[in-house]
Amino acid sequence: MSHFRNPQIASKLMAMGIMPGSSIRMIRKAPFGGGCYIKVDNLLIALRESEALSIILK
Amino acid sequence: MGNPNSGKTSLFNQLTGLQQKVGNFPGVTVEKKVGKIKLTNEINIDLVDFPGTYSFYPTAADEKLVVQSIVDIDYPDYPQGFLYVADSTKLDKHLLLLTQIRDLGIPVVLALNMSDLADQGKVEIDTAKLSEKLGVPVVRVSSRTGSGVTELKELLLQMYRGALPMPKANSSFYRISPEESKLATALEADFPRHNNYQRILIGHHYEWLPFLDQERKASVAEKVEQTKFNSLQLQVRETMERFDHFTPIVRSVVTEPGSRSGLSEKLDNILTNKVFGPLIFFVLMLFIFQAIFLWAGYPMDMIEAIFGHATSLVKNVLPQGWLSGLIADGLLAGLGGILVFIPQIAILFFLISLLEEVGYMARAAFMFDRLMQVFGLNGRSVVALISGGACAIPAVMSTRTISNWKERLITILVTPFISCSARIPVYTALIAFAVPQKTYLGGVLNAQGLAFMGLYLLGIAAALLAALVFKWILRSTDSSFLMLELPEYRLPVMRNVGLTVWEKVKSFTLEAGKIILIISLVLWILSSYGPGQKMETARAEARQTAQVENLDETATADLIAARQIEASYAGHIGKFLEPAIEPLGFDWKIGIALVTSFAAREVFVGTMATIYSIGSQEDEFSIQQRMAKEVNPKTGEKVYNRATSWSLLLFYVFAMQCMSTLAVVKRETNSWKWPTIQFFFMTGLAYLSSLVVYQVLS
Repeated sequence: MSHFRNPQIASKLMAMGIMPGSSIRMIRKAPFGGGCYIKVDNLLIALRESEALSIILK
Repeated sequence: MGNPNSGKTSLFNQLTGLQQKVGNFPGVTVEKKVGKIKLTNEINIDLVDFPGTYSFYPTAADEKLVVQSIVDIDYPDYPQGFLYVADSTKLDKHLLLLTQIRDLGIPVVLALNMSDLADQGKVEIDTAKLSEKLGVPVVRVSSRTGSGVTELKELLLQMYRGALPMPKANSSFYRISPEESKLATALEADFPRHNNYQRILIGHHYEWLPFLDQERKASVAEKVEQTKFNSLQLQVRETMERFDHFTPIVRSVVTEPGSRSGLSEKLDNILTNKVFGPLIFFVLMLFIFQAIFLWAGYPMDMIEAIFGHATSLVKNVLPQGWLSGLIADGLLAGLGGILVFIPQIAILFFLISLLEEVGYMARAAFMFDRLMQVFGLNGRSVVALISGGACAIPAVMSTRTISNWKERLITILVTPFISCSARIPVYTALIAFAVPQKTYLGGVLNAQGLAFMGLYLLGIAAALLAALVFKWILRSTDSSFLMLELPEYRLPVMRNVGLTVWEKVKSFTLEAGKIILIISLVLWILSSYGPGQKMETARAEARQTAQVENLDETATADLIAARQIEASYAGHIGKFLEPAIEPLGFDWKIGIALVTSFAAREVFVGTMATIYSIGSQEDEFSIQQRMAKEVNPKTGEKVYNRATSWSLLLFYVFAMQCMSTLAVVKRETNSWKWPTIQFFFMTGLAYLSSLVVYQVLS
């Protein structure tokens, strides 16, 4: 991960441990769309697409 | 305190067992669990299980409570010491909050939870080194097996006695920036007893902190303005710096020899699959629904039988008179009406807390988030809606994890449409009159079972449609988040499930029981006594009629009972309501039940039991049989015909017949406006649909 696009979402995701430098893997999309199931280091996290889009990858 | 999914509550249960009290934090409905720990024979301490949170920068109501209780020095729950719980396998993520707690200047003990997983060779942690680097005593515990609890208690005892070293403020994990430093100095006069970090936190959160009055808020706002304190920027900076400081420490003490199994990911390949995920969800819901009926049947029959015997015993042993009537028809009828639900409630809470405990609920929230957003709800609303199948009260309270006010409000407003366990007895009592006992497909499908399911689906449909309406009406500028951690799947700790079931059943029996008992007693008095001489007159008239028509003993007694209840105070109340509810096919006796069951829906059945058993000669406890015999004196038809029964069923699907839910909604939304709106739209919808159904069917 490189950086965040949206500071408000950044502050929340960072508290959960999603930081610049974390390794992020997209696992799957939600059954009805709109959501992503991602793995950040060893943490499994569900994000909305809009939230996921604020994470900029290297 | 600790992050969500750190096993905090599980450790709390391990430490306190049954020595727990569940209440609310002062001023808010966030559930508060307080437990007692016996450290020595003389020393007992209170442990509070705070809601899980990631940092001191909260968005949801339950996280805000954590911040409130650590910056308000005069708060009743202001901690004297912290027990911080972190997951050993996620140490790289779980220490942010700990480093923030350190800066409060209050002693703290770190418990590394799930050491059993770590002991299996998956993670090794050098606790001595970790303790030295963090400046905090560290102990390994397992909330599952209880290992390490003795050592933890020893540390808590030392903390209680003041023997633990106070965390040093100058070894802080982040350096206060010039803006923060300026603000802290500026706020010194306003908050002389707080430390600098607490003053900075007040600067971040003053707008919503409830212990600050308008004047103090204005004063803080002015200083925030003067010092050019940029809350969001500073939050990000603080978080970054803390992670930068503790990440190297974690790296130096944790070694991970083997790779992780990734079992949760594999399970989720199926459980959150595009097709199988929702399918499995619906099968699970169907299973819960079935289990409530299949498993609860026997214990419920047993409870009914016991009360049946007790009633006839009282009637046989005690001389006939007001005391025997009060105990048998008032007290026992009412009490039996409550206790008979316990099996259903226990099963429902058992299964729901099992789903929560294994980590499935978060997946449900993830899968349905998009769908819920269509209706103005949040993925987390799924948890509330499912819990609403047990009881709307805990369901409404569970919405506090939804940070967007509009989504939370809509969830609160529509959750009571979901058929709760209190409707089950009402449905059970009435469905037999509405739908014939028939089976299809060689006994696989049962007509009454299908009707039952139909009522549940109707409730769900009403909830979603109402949500759509509210989504359209309500305006909000809050941003909405999902951002949900999906915990690793794990085997449930049965102690946790058992404690939840025990606590819910206990509070149902005591809280709901108290109301129902009082109502049954009041109802018994109201229906046993009447204004002036009316009761005596009614009795005499009934005797005369019986003689004229040459009725036998039982028929005479029933006639007297019927006439007396009509003449009683309760009869007068029912008669007063009759014109309003007659178009729905309800008579005055049902009117009495509608009034009393406003306290709680299940009171309907208890009321029927009380009304129909007063003066009746039979010891039969089954309310259904008594209702089946009920005949309308004007038309000579059965009261519980198809049209009336359906009309009454629909009324109970939609109507807001629950005082306690309204009270909780009032507390959650902090105004009478929302419960009032909720009452009128739900009961209005109930009235209209009952009216239509009765007029069409009759």
